[in-house]
Amino acid sequence: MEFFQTLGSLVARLWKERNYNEEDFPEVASRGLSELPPDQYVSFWDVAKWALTCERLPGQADLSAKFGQPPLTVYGGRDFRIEVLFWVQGIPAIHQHSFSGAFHVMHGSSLQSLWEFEPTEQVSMRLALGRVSLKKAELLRKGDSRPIIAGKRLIHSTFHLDRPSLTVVVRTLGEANKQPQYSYLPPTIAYDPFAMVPSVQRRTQLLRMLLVSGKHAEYQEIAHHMLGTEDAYSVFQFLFSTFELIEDEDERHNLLLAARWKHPKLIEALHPALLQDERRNKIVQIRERVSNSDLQFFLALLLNITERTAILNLIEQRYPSRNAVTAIVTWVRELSELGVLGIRFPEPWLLMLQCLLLNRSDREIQKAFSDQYATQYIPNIESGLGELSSGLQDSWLLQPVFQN
Amino acid sequence: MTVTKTVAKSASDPETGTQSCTLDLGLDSIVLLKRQVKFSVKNVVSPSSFRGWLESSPRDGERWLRASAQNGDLYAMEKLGLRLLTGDGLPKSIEEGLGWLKKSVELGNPFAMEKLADYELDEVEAPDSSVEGERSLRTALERGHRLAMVNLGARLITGNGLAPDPEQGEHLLRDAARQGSQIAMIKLGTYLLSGWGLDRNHEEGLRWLRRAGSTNASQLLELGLCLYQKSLTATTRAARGLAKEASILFQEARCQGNPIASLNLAYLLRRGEIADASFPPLDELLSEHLKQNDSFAFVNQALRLARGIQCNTDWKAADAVFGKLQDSGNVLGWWFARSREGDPEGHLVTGWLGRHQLAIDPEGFQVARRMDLARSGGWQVPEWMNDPATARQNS
Repeated sequence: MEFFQTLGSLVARLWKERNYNEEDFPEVASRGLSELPPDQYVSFWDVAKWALTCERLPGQADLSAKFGQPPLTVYGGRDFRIEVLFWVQGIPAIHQHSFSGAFHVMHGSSLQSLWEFEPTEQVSMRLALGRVSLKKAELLRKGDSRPIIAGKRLIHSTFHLDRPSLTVVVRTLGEANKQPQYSYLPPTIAYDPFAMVPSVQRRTQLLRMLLVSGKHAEYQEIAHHMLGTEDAYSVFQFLFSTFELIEDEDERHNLLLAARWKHPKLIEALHPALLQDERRNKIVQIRERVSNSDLQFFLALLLNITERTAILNLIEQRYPSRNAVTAIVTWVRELSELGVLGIRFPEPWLLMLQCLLLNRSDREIQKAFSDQYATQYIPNIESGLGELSSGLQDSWLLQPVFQN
Repeated sequence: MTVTKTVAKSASDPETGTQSCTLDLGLDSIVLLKRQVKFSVKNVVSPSSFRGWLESSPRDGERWLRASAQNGDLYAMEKLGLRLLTGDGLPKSIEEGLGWLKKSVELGNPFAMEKLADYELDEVEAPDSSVEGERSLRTALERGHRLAMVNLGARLITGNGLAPDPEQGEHLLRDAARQGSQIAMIKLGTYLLSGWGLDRNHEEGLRWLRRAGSTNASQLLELGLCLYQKSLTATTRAARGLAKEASILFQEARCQGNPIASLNLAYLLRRGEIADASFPPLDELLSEHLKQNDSFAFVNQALRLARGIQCNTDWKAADAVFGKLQDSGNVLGWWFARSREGDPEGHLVTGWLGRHQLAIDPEGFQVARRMDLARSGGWQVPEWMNDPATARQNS
């Protein structure tokens, strides 16, 4: 496509001037995207139509579409390429890169969260334990570009808010000294998703097969043995891949207990990460059932942002004329009414949510309830409201809006 | 016992009805927000006849278990020990079984600690066995084994194997329930519901059961059935005692208007799995179902006549009742499964179905062979029951 040929040539020339030094490539790519911003030259439809009708596509990378839905290679240069990534519902994991460059939001918008990882134990090249924490979150709009720094200096997740969203990525082909390309499971785990050991991968699939087939007794029989005898990375993979398929809380507890004997530190770190991952997947499922863009945005916030202040700021950024607290209460009500949460939020819960978001004291909350329900008797008002308040704050869905 | 699922009219959660002037804060449901996966009675169901390593080839399975145990796999030690101790799939050897179980305990396996405790509390009659058992349970608990907490709590409440200490037992059960243990919620619910070991608190009992996923009469029935089925495949006495918890759930479901619950209660009463003092007589529990020609009711009536439960033993009358059976499919399904578990009643009913030509024996056994198996299990089956019933008898 002509535009990308022009962009590619510009980047190629700029990089040659820097002697193809990978360290300089984020700056080179950013400059290319700033001089020739793709959103101003081509549209989503231009790219899709060209790719579907041109006589010959450039050589395509990532044919199995692991990153992008799909990824489309539009230019191949010396040691770099340009890709257009289409996203329809993709929720990229929190990850770092083994390549560098820059990306540009060409169509739609995105929520980028930036994270940091402080390792406490490197279990192996494939697995590390530590603390994964949110550094910053920002809304990216059409036309925004950001550099991609290889390695741990850029750990991020870019959550695409519109369907489709398109990002143009100008990137090196890969930098061997920046491997492995970790993915992160907040709050505690870093792992290499690309370096699966074949036997571990196959066994993981077999364990999933047992659970999906309802063979829980068989799974238990074999899982205890494996968790008590296998290495930490295998145990991580087995639990990471199967935990969500087990619904019985006691069975889950027993599995972790069985693994803890040999891998106490891993299990201590993994348990919260498994719960967070499950929460994430559940919100993703809810999001897939919701078409309203405001609700999709709210769910994206709950999915990606772990802190209340950041959530409120992002809502204000996107909806400058709306009150963020009122917006949250409204969205929770709408999600509840859609029946996608698995539980209906009655009005007293919504009132409590509003009070908590407004940082009301216990006394103020009591007054709010007494005013709102003046004609109704509230039995054991103090303990009842206390239970309601802690129930909401502990809820898997709304956790982040109460985290400071 | 019947597995037929009938949705009770009370399925729309009758308990939550509150006075119009009282504000319902929805506290029963708020707990559901904490869990990412909703509790379901299905979660409790894990009765399985799966034989683990001994499933398809006992010899290979035993070899594998022994090799793994000898190589230091503490979970293989536990499984091997338990199988030898109970004679489950392997020739019973208490000494060797205890040896493996204790070795696994020494290595720090909390599951083995609980199993050893169950053995000491339920099977050993030495004076210090209950002290040892309690110590093992507490060590398992210290190692983070939540089900050991439930086990200890339930024993302290019911006095099963331990001197009762309901206060401490309740504390343990509540703690485990708060940590998310569904079985702790169910036990707490049933104890409070019935006043078994704890002060009766019907409302709170129901609340715990709702939290465990059982929100209406048909789910109470289903949950009771799950617990009972679990007790059938259990190897420890404590787990086999789940029948009593099941009966409490059946009784509650019955009070809430589920008709099948009374049939299930009749089944447990007839088999002596629960004491009959606190339940209605069998005549009352069965009468409506007999009028409606319910197959399970006929079988239960026939079996009680054959055994003389709350009536005189009368095999002729029992056989006549059995001959009225119309739909034998579910009956065969339930009792044949019992025969596979070694329950002589299962053999009797399977043979009885054959005698009346109501079903073909799934294993191809002759009626006489089934009857012999029932006799060797304690049923005084008359010789004439070996013969096929005549057409007149059937009619």
